[in-house]
Amino acid sequence: MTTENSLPLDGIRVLDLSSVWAMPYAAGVLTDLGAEVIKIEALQRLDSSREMGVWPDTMGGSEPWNSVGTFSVLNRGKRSITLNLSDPRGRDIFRELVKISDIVIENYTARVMRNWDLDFEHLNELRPGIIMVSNTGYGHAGPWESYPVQGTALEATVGIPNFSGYAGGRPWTIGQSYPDFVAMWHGLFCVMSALRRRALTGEGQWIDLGMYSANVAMQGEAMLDFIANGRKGERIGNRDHIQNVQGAYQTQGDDAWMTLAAQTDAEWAALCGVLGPTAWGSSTPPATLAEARVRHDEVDGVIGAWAATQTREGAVDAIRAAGIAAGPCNDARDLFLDPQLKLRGLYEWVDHAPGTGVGRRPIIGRAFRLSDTELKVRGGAPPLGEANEYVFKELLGHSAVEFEELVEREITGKREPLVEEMSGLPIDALLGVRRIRVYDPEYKERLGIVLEPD
Amino acid sequence: MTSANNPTATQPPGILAGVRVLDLTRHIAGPYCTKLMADYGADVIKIEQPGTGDPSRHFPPYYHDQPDQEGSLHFLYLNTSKRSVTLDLKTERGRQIFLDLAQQADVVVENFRPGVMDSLGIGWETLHALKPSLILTSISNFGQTGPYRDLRATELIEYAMSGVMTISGREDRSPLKHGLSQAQYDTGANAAWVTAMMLFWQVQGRAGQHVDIAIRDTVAGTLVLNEPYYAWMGGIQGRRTSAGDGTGNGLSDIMPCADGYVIVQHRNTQPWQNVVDFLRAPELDDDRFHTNDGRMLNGEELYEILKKALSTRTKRDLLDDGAAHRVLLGIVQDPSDLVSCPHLNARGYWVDVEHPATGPMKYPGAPVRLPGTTWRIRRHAPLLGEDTDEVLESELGIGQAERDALRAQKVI
Repeated sequence: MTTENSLPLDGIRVLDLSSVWAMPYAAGVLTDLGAEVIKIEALQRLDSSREMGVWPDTMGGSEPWNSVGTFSVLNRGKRSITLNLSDPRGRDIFRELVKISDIVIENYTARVMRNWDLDFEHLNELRPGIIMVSNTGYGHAGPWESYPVQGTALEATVGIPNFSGYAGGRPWTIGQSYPDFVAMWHGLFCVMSALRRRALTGEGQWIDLGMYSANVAMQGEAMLDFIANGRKGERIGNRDHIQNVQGAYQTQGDDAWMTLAAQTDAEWAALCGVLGPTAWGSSTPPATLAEARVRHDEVDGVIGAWAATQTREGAVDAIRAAGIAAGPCNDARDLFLDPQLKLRGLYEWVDHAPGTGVGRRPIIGRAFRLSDTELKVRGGAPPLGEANEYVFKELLGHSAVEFEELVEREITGKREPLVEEMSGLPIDALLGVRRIRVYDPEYKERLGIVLEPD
Repeated sequence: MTSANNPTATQPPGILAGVRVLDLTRHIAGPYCTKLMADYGADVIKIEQPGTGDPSRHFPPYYHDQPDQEGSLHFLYLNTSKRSVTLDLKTERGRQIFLDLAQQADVVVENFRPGVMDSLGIGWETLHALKPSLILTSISNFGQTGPYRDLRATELIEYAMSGVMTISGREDRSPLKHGLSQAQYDTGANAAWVTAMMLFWQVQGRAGQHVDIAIRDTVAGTLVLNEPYYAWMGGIQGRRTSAGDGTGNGLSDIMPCADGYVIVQHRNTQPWQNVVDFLRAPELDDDRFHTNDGRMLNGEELYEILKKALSTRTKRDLLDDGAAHRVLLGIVQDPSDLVSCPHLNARGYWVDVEHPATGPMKYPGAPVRLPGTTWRIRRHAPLLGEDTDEVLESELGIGQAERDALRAQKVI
């Protein structure tokens, strides 16, 4: 038995070549679990998510690549080095790193690692038992193998928008880059299964994680409904395709909405009780859930008229008190202040590196809890190249002279701070183009953000 | 079509071969978790209530639209490669049989309401005392702890409370959820990886733990842009503007084309000129459109140009031509497109599964390819109680006479 306070991935080293969202997030979660994750970028080509998202109070400062909010969530707890793999010497150094690592994660176009002789067969020769995740849109092999794609565009191709959207309207994507998260969960499932198998057999594993096939697997019943019954699916807004009467209804307040779902005849009767006998005007209320489903448009009108007279919280409480499932449509602020998520620790306070201007802010932690191991985010996202000396000198044993030569050749190195500080679109402009809907000037006080932690 | 369902003796085992799962899950989230494990090689024994079984056996759609507890397409898809044992956990003998099976398992997965496992006398304390290495994975709406623990919810309510709906849809209409049951599937996949992590932990000789997975936490965990907007600058995001057909500048959103819908996405690591060339729209070669901020500020104009450029072209033409220009492209596909997709078929994605109620049928195949190990639907979703006799006989040595008695008492 190992010590009780050890973490599940203690002693595991991960080389993270990935960019954007899916695999960076997966590798970020591995740091929470105790793995040492070395994020590898090239000075010539940073992870594009260092430039996508939001800076502290829209100010990027002189090192704007180190302070983006989304980047921090996805890359928390990692070490950062710069290493130019386009240079053969850079690839030799990468091979040295592979020899002392357990997992390699990459999301290049399929041909890239192959052309560099860094595919699984080669890596497994360097380090027998290596686990390699190759994340692409469409998987290795097949006519679309090299088609470039990212989560947002891919959401269309995988088919889920065919079923998502207002009744009779066009297809919609939902949330933010949804297929990325599907890839993350499935990728981590394969990584963990491979670690277990390696512990038993010593064997490595290549994980060909195509986001397309994983996302189609999440729509099984709809695929079988076409195959068995010829049905291609339709868009039904927020309605239920099986049994419930349900919807989202606007209440009093600024863009305030609540949802409810009546699932049985008894619940339908209870809902009618809340709505009151006069709600139906000259018509007779549906007697059963089935009848209410047939008259769903009319039902939505009646519930909507009732909801419009309520506060969001009042409406939710009244429906729940009648024994019916209900809940508010939460926004970003609601989530941070939510008592359930607070108790479960979904958001964690993280001290970011000095000089980034981020300070101590909350980020998304993990969507699970373990009974006996307390996990926590181990640090903010790493400033670019902060671990160059640690990795080149300590881990790989390069001399100061060798290291300087690599810096000279721009195989590694640091990026000079900008002479002119960078700032993003001002708040008025963000509101004007609807990038944000509301600005809350008191957000720091509300959350308890500390700009300069001790 | 592949041989994925017609194994030969030379096929290597699945990556989770040797893992025994005792599966108490019902509906969608839990069964997707254990389906992943089963199709990747774990031995999953599904425990079902005698007589009725998993409630999803009674969910439409059904095979040929005929209601039948062996014909629910939900159930058929989500329970492949598993064995079914009927067992009434509310009887003392049923409970004892469950605990005897748990002795031989590595993991128990359940998605009852919080507290039900304890009230059945098979909660975490009991299981942990019975077999210290055993892992228990519990899936619920809001988690096993906290003030919302006992609140009821459905897929819609999970979406609303997770924050995803508020930013989905158009600003002058209601918030929107994904179609189908994505929050449930998401949570199944999330539960599967955490369970696999605990299997790695277990195989190193460590004690099992209770894994607590909530549907709402899982979905809220996807808001990696929305949440930092608030925590970094106090911005609260909303739904899309009502310009045009409900889009902002048209990029990264669904737009109509000649025969359907597409998404054009631009990434900053590629030159904007690629988009200009791909769309054959020289008017986009304009300083106002060269930066992200400029594209946001001049959104309505960009939207109109994009709409016009896409209107004359088909989605497959756009997909192939986008790839040639290194532009990120998505095309909205329906199930018929997916089943006939040249890429999925070249990769042997769809597999044949033979089921007594349906005959042979195509199913979605491996979500992830793991060369050197085998993903395989080893058998069709079980008929209710199909394996009760075999499991009780071979695993617990309960003979025919005793099984007859248990059956008469409706324990099995």
